[in-house]
Amino acid sequence: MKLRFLPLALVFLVTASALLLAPGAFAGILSVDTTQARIPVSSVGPSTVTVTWQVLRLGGSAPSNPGTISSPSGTLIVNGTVLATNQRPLSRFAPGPPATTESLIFTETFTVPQAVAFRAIKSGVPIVYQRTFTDSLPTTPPSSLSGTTLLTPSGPGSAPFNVSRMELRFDDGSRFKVLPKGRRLRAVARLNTSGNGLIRGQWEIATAATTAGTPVFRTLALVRRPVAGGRPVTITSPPLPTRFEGNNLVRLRLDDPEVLFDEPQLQYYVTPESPLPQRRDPQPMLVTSPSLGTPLTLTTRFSWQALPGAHLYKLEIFGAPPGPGDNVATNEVVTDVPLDRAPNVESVRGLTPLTGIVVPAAVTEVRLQDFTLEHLPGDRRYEWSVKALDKEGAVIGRSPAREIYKP
Amino acid sequence: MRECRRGAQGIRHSFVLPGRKAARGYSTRSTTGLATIFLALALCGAPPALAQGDWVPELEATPSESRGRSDPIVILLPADLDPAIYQNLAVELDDIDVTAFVLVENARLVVTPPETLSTGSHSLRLVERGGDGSILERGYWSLDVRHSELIRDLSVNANLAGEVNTRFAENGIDTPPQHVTGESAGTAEASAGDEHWRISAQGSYLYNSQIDLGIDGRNFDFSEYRIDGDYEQDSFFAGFTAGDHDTGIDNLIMSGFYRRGVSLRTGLADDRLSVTGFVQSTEALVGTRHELGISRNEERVEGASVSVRPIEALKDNIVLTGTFYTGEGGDGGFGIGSDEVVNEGDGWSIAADTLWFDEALRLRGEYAQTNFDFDGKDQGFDAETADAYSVLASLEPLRGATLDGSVFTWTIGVQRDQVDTFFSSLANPYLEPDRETTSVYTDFLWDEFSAQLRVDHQVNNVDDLDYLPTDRNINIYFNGNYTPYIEPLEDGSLPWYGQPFFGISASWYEIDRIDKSQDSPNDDANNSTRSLTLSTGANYETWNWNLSHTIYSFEDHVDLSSDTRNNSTGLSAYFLVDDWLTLQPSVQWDNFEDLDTGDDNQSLLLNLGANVTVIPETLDATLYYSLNHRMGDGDTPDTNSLNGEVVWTLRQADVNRLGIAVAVTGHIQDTNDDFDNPEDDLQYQAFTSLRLSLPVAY
Repeated sequence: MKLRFLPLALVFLVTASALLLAPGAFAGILSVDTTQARIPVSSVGPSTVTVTWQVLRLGGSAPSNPGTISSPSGTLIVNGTVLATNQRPLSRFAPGPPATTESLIFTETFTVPQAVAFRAIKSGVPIVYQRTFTDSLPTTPPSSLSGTTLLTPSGPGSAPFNVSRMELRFDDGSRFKVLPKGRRLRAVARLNTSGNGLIRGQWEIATAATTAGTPVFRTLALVRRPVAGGRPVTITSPPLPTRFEGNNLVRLRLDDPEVLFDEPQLQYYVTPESPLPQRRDPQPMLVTSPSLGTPLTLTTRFSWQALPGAHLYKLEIFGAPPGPGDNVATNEVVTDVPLDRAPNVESVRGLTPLTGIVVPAAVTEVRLQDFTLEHLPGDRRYEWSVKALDKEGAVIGRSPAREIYKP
Repeated sequence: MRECRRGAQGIRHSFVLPGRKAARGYSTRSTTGLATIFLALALCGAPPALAQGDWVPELEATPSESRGRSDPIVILLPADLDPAIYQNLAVELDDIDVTAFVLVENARLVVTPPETLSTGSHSLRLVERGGDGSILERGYWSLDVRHSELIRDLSVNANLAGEVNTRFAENGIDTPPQHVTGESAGTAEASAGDEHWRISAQGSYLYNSQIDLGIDGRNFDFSEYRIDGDYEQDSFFAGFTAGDHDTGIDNLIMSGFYRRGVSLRTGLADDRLSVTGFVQSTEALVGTRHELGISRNEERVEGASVSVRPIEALKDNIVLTGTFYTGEGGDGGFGIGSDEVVNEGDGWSIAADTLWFDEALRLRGEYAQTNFDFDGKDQGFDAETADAYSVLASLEPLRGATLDGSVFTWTIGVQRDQVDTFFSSLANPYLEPDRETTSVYTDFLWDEFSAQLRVDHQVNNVDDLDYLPTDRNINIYFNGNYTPYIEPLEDGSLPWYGQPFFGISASWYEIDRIDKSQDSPNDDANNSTRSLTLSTGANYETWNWNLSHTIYSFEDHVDLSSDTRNNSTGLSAYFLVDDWLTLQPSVQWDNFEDLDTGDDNQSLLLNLGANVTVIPETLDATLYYSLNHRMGDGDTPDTNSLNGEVVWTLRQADVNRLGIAVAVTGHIQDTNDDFDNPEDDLQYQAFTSLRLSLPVAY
């Protein structure tokens, strides 16, 4: 009997000695888990997801078993094939108290490419996101353990709230502007979104007062825009400051949702006020007649408030787009603070008037004659606007475009 | 010449428009037809001025070979024409009544164009009001306004500016640049043309001594440019565009595609047939590293679009359009933030847009198909073929009807869209895929009220994949405005409340999962999003104001995410104080609450802009103050900032004359946080600047 127990005793003694005598003899990763076993992602676009890892580490018998738990990269796997790698390393120092388990939390945010979601849907399997964590404390073999979470392409009701794409332009479609001081300018952001939530951000500008040195951005206006079910959203900025001569920068910075791509910014250069009449923006003119809904006839009285500096006024009638109106646009919003005093003439921009009348500055009301109205077919809608010109021919004032019906 | 009110309000007979000669052309020959109705009655209670039934005005020839843009236009009347007729005459220039700017001098009517005429063709018409109220066209001429005898249109405009800045004070800047920096920018446009052709070019440049603020990583470069050429004959037209542009093609496979490239166009002059071909970069470009942007096969799309109006009698009512494209590239570049992935794809679309019943009914339909390689060329799955269609019917049933004396406009419509799950196009990155949407909408405008209502029913998972869940999204959107008519006071001014306006906008989105994924049966969705915005304001002669409040709420009925609520209020105004001061104050207050965690945060943004003209055309100042204050959970440091500029103009810039100015400019920003150990961070920079500017016009 003594001889049979001898090998077991020897094993026990050797192991105990190793545990007691070797510095930090055993500090191993016991488990790697995530707080969410399944995370939904968008099926029709890239998704930004947040994964929280919980790594359980056992401290060794030594008084202190410090080490660094790290993971160099994560991989996105579909059907056993690695399709993409997240190169961002994760690392945390663990003090390693003796014989105690430590829980280390790692949180990371990354983008799942649409191509990976596509493969998963076509294969009918979820995406496996895997990371391997390694303990730096020297052990034999090195302590290393992998953990996974599943990313499942889902519908718009549960897809993560994301902005996957942002495109910035100025309101004329360009991406760089040179314009005289005081001219009106807006930026337009088109966002591709997924999921549900409230876009929270702000329009920011770095005026020429800072870009002569180091650009310093300040907030121009807050932006709040709901998104439901993921859809394209267009957000127009308030009027951008164009009183600081020089190089100015504008961007839309998002607080929520978080975006991982570099947020774009635009530049516009403000030159001194232009002496050329066509390069100045008009002031808004107030129209006092006719009221909305008044038909266009020989008795229709057009009247407006006089504008100082006006040499003449020109009443113009434009054709409205033919046919009934299009579907109501619900995905576009204009940031209206600070307010824009510019007259809204977007509907007639670039159009040639069909007819109208020019009167001297002393005249602030007219009725159109029959030979003028004969240019306009009946039973149609038109748009009209009054503009004021100074002696140099510059348009110094303009009323917003209004619709009118001719029987 | 007076306008004759009695004639305008009396019995009107049908107009008599003598036939015009077909060869109107670009000459100054009179093409008057003779009046065929003898005018019997005089107007305005004056002694009867017998209209001579047969008199022909002539257009006086110009002293020079070509007519200038501001040259007076002289109409010669017969010497024996009864002067009483003069008061019945009116003159139209380009169909605009300019009678108030016509002088009568010894049987001559001198028309001084109230606006400088553009080069090109203009029309001049002389009309006479007959005694019976009829309108007689006595003369019609086409005027050719030219830059010179050699060429009709020629213009060059440029706006150039630059400055040298010296920083004389700074604080809190981590890595300040050099003390002396320079920057310059300019834009130039040139055009030339004649009767049948026109060419134009425009572009801009930027220079900045700080390379980080240059274009495309260079100190100096051109940014965007565009060159257009057009040729037109009586029967056809042709043209091209090179540079940064949007071809205007708008359908399911191509929309809003503003990129650098080349497009060609041609067609019939009557628009019954037009063809556009294009080759454009997929990447948004600026600078000159890629001048045309189409040299790289892996970064471009190419295709064409054809529009046909097949029926001559209905050429304004039926348009058929076919478009196709093919290409490869990534969706990124200047001004775009995204994960730039290179894909390959192609697609085609065919659409019909029609108007019926005197434009009261619109029927529009489109079908498109795309092939798109989502997971990369030569790897994974093959390119995915997908379809989409859109049909719309909209009707204006009671056009011209009145309600209580005011005309009302009422439109109703229905639209049905279906876009397959994997429908995607390189030339339309904004398209929302994977949806079947049925939409009903109405638009109403009457007197001082306008309203819009839209109801959508939308489901996803169009391809009906078992692996994907199917969600239903019901949207209701309403927008209403009330703009009361305000009668001016006796002195012509507005009452104390100005011209007010009121608005309300509301939306409601309800999403629920009607079919769960077979792979993830526990993955559920059921949530509601609501928002309501109330707005009001008023306009005055020299100031206006605007106030709005928005309430937003999100409820997740399956607790996947937090319920949230947000309240936002915005108030802004604009004041013009005489001609020397403008003020633009604004304030925004925002409160966001996470109802599940109890977190909330508030934001307060105060802005005040002021522009001061101290000495007209010599000394002016611009100041801009901003306060950004945040509180609550997720707090970030507050900032106070002031940007300012004072400019002394030494020499006023004028056309083709250099302007010189000096300026003092700068900013100061104070950053505070609310932690126990407050840490002030004061940043400021101050500069003196020498500025040069040169507006060019020819």
